[in-house]
Amino acid sequence: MFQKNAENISEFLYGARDMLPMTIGAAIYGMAFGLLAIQAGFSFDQSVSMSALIFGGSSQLIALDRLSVGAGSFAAIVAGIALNTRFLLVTAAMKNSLIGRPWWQTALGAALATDASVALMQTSKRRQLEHSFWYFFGGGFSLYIVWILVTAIGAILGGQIPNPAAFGLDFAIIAVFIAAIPGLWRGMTDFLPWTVSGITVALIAFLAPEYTSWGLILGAVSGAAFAGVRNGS
Amino acid sequence: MEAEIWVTVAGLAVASFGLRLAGVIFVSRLPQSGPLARGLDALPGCLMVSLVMVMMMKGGLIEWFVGICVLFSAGITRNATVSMFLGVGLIALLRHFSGGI
Repeated sequence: MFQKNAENISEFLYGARDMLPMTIGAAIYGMAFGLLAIQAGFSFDQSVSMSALIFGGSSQLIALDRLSVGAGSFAAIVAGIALNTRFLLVTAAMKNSLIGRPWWQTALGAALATDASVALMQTSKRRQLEHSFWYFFGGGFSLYIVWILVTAIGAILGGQIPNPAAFGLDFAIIAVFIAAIPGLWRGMTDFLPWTVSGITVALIAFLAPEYTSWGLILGAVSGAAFAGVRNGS
Repeated sequence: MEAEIWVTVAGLAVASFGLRLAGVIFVSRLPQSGPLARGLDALPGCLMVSLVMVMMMKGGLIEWFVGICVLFSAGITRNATVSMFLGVGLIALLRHFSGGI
């Protein structure tokens, strides 16, 4: 029993540690959200609640944008859902650490799942912890706490933060996701599915830029579908 | 706007958790082998590639160049933190010298 607990704690800490690059990237993003929320007329409580209850940066930003242009709650929620549909795919991708667990672990693990959890899969493979709930919980929980804290800091600082783009900080979150890609590469078998995903996203961005956020879902699904149906896999 | 904000926060919170939970429920009912299982195994990589592509579509020449540098750095070093700082530093430097932001 004691040994099992010690194992869980060590897996939790490995998860938190391996999440660190994503946490740093998301911290900058979260601070920007807090700052923008205050500027859009949100109270401190509303800004922090949004981060604590939704835990999805891009959907929070788009809902904020819809509300500030006066589109109303319904439009804001629908726009947010469009972006967060990918969470369906995120938790589906995390199946090894979420299925066959006590219900509270499945619910908690799902609640803390983000794009960063998918990025964490590359290190989980290296540590042979792909099936560990505690590893992904450690990563998700540390990211969650930091996400709330930086939203609060951004909201308190208000307009005092200089232009983050001038320091390249807007690129931090993109860079950590790019850096996660080589670890997810399983060999040449991934080449065509990934190409299909990339081309689908690019096509939608060029042909129907207003649907780019749906492009993410279509890109991921079309690549995975290709991998599923092709011969000889 | 006060009430509108709270309604949005609550509505989107419930929907987001519902989507996260639906993914797990959906995947637990699928077969463990065959085309669907192969597709699901390929999903993490396809999802990450699509996410990065969506983010990069808004970028210009500098962002694409630095993005490729980060990809190579991560492929060689397998260190996401180093690769991130390399990307942030490079992009700040290139934007400064190109007279951008």
